[in-house]
Amino acid sequence: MKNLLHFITSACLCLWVGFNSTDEIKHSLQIIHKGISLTKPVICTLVEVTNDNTLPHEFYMDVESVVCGDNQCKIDVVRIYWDELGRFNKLVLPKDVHLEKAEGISFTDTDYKKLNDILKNEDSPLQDVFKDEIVGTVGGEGVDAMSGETILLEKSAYVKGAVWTCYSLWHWVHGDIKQHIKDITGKSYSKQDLRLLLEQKDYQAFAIEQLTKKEDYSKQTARAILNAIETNPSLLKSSLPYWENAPKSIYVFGSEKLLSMLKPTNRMLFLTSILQTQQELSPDFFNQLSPLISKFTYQEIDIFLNILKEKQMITNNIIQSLVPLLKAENFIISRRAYYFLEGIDLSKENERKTSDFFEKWKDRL
Amino acid sequence: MKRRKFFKKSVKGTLGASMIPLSGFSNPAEKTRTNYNSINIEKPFGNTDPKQWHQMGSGKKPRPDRRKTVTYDVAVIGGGAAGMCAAISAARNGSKVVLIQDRPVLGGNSSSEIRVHLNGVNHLRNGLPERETGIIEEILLHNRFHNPQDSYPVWDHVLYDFITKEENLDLKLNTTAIRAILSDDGTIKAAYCWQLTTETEFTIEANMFIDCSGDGLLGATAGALYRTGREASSEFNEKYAPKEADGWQMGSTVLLGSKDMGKPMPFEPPHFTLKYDAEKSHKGRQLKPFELGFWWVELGSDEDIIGEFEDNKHKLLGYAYGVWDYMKNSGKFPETENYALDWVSSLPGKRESRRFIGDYVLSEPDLIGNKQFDDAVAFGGWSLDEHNPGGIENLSEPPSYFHEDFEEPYQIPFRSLYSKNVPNLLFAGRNISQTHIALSSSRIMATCALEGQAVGTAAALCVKKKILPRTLGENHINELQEQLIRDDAFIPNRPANDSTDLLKSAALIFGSSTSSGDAKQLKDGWSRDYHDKKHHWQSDGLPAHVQVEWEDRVSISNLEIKCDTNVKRNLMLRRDSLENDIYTTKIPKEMLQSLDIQARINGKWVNIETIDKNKTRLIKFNFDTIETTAIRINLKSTYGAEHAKLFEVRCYS
Repeated sequence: MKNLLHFITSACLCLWVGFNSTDEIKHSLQIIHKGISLTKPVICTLVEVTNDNTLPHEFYMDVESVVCGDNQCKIDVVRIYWDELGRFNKLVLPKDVHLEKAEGISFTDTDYKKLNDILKNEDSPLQDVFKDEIVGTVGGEGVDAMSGETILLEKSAYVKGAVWTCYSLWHWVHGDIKQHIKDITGKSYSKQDLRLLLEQKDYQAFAIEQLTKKEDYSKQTARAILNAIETNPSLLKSSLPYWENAPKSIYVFGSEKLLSMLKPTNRMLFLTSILQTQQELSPDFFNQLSPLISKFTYQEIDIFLNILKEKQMITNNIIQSLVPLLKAENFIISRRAYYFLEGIDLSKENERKTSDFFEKWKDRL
Repeated sequence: MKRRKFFKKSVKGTLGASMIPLSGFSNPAEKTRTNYNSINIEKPFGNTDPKQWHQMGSGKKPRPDRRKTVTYDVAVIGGGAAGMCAAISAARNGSKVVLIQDRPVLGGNSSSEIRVHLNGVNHLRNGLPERETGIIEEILLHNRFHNPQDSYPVWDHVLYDFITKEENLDLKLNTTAIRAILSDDGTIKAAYCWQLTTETEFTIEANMFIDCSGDGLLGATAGALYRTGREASSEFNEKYAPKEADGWQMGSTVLLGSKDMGKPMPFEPPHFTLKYDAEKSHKGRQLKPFELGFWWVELGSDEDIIGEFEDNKHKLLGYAYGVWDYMKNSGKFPETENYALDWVSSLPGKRESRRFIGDYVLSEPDLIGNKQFDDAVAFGGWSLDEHNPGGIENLSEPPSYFHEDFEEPYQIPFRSLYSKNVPNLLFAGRNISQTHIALSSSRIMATCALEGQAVGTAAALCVKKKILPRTLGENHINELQEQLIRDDAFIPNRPANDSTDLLKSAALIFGSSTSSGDAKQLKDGWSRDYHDKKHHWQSDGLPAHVQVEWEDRVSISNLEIKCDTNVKRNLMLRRDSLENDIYTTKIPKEMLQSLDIQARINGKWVNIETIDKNKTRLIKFNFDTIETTAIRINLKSTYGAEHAKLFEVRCYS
């Protein structure tokens, strides 16, 4: 079959292409496929195709086109291709094989295009459906107020008459296999390769994940990750495990940089992670953050003060940074600072300032 | 011929039973009965004092004149989805309410007597629901907590539990409102009722009457204008209506259920069975799946569908058994071999009869054109689903014409929910002011329930303001709509704008984390995502909190939250317990399970109230008035979702 394949890309059944690679590595894996069993893994062979640099180029696996739920399906062996990051590339059928819908009708070009779109959709409604939830409902799509007979799924989620095929293939494409592929690729790359990938938009999240797995906590790598986050702040969330598992010095280094460069929404996310961190932080860490207080929004001040209280890290430096907030333009910020300061030991002068605040605003407290 | 035979037998049986003393009634053998008669001749009164036969043991008359006059603010006739929601909403909005139901159970077409699915906007053209919220959702959620086994008899009592726990609401089951008693000014003064089980005549006086009975006997006897049959297409510019008006009304259906007995089960049809001619039948009459019966076993009428009901029911039973006989004995369905009937309805589920005339008649162009009404109070979205004229006696046509699906829900105006000529009569359900074609969509129970909540709320406001429904609609429609939305009804394209909501004066609202939406949207007046626009805030994981800050102290005694229950997934009890992307039998995983609220008082956070097992989308906290500058809603867990999603937060003094 390897030499006689035709493949489906975007819209149509295209000419078959020859494939003549000898650089293939076979990986035997145990995969859970939702349509087969939720507990018993399927043993399957994932083939890694390497490029001239012996790095993974793409992966493929031969699977049965349908895990049939109603004994009315024609089963073919088809080949699924992923890129090196586990993203679906294409579905390839052996020559003279055509996918079929109900009653033996062949897929049309439109059906193939729709199937391709379905397989490319990582968030398909198919993802949360269990096999048993399909059985018994695919027979009819009639609708009536009395019986409530109804369609199975959102119509965009499947090719009419081929729901089992769509369901089976989607779960092959987007199942456990994706993480296996990423891990295989990650292992093939050196730390330096991964650092370089931090500069390529499509590879950044993958590189952070794999650098975390490789426990690369060098300052050089930390800086490269910070640079990636600066250009693409959406990476912050996927970087949190990296910082959380890093040595304290890297954690402190990264935190200071992140809090300085992030905008409020992402800063909130990171402050929340500080509130929850298992890292043992010193008063110095918070002293170094204190200059940032004047830039914080109300929400950030609120969570920052909660962190100080939770971790019992109230220093003179911090207090000195907070006292000016009593005169903040935004009254709810000054009131928040007052509520924090009134409960701690203060110098006489700071005590006077908080008393003045109370006298002035006692009707609004 | 067969039918005459049936009646002859029935009459004979009845006469026989009435002449025989109770002690001998259960003996079928003539010989035994003779023996009893001979004993009676010897001791004509047995061992009892004949006087006892005329009075109870206490000395009171055994059949006294049981007549009672009772007075309420609002009387609701009909205990189906519309009537229940009308009664609950009127009671919750401060009225003293009575709910009169002529059956032993609540639920109407959805009850165990009939077992129709409580459908609503189950799916629009995009395949997704736009599910109803408010009281009907509360009922459906109540069922998910108390009836995970999907039992219909238990559903009856889930409803009984829901209704009877409501303060300000009296339920009278087995009670028929036979006629209206009118005042000189044409308003209904009272409903004259008969309670079968207690042999009691009730005169129920009320300020407002809501007819949710379906057939609308009370309204009809009050002289309320109504219509039956199909309008001519020219009357309301309806493309799916016939050219000439006629009397056709969609029929009633007898459902049945069967189960696999694990061994071959022969079936012998009863004598009243009517043969089903499958060969002549349109292929739309699907025979599979067969386990839960056939909705198209249906008979309507060109004439007096109410008067013909018992005759039609007899025929319907015959047709239902006829289809089952075909399944079992035609040899074409070997898969039915081990199946046997285990339930056949004795009360056909009705689709259509009287439609009252209100100040506005809802019609097909309003639905298809999605007309926007200033007085919109409810919505629908089931397809135009007009069952064929003739029902099962017209086999050549498809059982129903699904004329059109809807792109988005359509609105239902308040003017279609009160009578044009009986000033204190409101209605909800299939008898509202609408055409036959509009009914083909809006008759669905969850849609009727929304109408019910609207008229119940309206009736309570009328009582409070001492006005009539028309005046309410003309002068206070905004207040009615705001109350409905606050009570978690959804009116498409009509966001809330409640000036008494203290959240509007807050300086800031924010979430401790955000994975989707924005906390500011919790006060934008929308209680669901709509038209592809987000109106929610969603946490990033749990626990999480939402915090509201005011610049000045505010007095609060009430806090209300609307959380997510996934209105894109249907919740109703179904006979097939369907579980898929758009139907669930489970408690929505998105719904908040546990949460608490805190208020900052004099600079300190104080716990106000905790809920460990929330069961509703609209979560209400009522507490003694506090003076506060901030509140915090701490979200601890959902019923399975990773994040918590809220749509609305409100505060009131």
